[in-house]
Amino acid sequence: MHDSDTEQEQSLLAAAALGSLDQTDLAALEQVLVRSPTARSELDQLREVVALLPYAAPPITPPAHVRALLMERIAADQAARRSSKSASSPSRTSRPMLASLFSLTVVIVLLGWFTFTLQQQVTAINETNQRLLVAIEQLQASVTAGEERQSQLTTQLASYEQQLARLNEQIAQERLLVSFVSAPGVATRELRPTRGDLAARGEMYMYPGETQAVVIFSGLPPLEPDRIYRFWLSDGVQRIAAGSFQVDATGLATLVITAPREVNAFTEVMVTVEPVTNPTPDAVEVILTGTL
Amino acid sequence: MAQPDNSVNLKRLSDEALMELVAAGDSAALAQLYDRHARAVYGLALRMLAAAEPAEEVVQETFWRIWKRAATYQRNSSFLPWMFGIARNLCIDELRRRQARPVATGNDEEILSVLTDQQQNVEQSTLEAERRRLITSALADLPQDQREVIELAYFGGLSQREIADHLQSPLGTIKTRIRLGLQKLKQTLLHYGIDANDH
Repeated sequence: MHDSDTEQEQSLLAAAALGSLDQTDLAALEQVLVRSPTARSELDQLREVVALLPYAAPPITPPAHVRALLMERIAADQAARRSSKSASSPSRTSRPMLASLFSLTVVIVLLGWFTFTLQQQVTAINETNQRLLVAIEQLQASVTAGEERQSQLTTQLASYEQQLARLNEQIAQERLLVSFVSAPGVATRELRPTRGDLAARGEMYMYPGETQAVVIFSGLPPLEPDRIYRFWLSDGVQRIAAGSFQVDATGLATLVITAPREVNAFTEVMVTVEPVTNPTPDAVEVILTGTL
Repeated sequence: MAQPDNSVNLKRLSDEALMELVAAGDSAALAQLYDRHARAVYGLALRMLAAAEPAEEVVQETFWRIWKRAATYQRNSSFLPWMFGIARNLCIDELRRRQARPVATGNDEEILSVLTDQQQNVEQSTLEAERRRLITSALADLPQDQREVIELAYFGGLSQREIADHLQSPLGTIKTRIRLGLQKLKQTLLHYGIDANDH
């Protein structure tokens, strides 16, 4: 290395140590430092020398507030560091956070369990309600059916009562007839057909001096609905209708008559067949007659 | 059991050892560094800025940056060049903000005459006074043109080209003066047997 190169290198190191190196010389300095360990050592030594230059200026204690402000600033920085460290430290924060998370998890699980249980209970209650509604509907239907059955039974009972009443009436009539025809002193008169082809007959039971009598018919043919049998009383001057009747399928009929005066006051009885309404003389036929 | 006086222990530590504590967040270690070097930093700032208030700001900001940048400090390097480098750069920033750089070329006694220092302890004052005497003597031994460019470079914050412009001298001449002046200063200080780590 030439002396000029050494001087140039020393100039770079001196300027660098003093902090007066121009920007244009920076690249050259870097090349020197990279190439030469000796140059790096020389630069360190020169920097040590330059570091003594401040002592060429008279040292003076700065005002107390400078130190106080500095230490306040540092204390604030330390507090901020501690705060930042505690905020980012997992060991200090993780335990309460984990505890909180654990507690939160337990609460969530319990709430979930309670919700599930409540949902099950609600579902069970709904099913019970449905069953109760069905049972109520069935009960209502049963009540309705019972009411209908009761109504039917009531109707049937009324029908039976009517039948019973009719039967009682029939029984009473039968008893009356029995007692009438079997009583001592009863007189019997026969009614005979007016035609030879008619096998009908009638038997009249009466008491002398009484207005009531009973006539039992047999062999009479059943009539059309628009025709009836009519019983007549005649005293030779006047003929009086004493009742009308129909016969059953066997041709039997019983008629209780009540005359306007004692029956034995009349001399003749007869039975005619005639229309139910507006009978004309041509439409009336005498089929049974008898004398008293 | 009595607790040991931590401040006494810290006083026994070197700057570099204190920096390890500062890097660990020990504000007491930083306070110890402040008490040890704030006066020199304040003196430097006053010399460069020639005004008390910005010099105070430089002192506070220098030790604040030491506190914040302690983790970047290299253990095997000297502390003082690093610390004064921070302080000087802050002064240069202030000078550039002003866009008017006062050039202190030996009239620092006039600038600083208005300031008094009543807080330095005797032992520290003696050491500093001796160091200052030796350094001032070493600078005084330099040829005037070499001392001038060194002071313009260091205390004035000027680059070599700016010094050349300021003195209206060739750039090569300025580079030569700086190289020769700094080499001689180094030899003189070595002869005196002091270095930057003496305190």
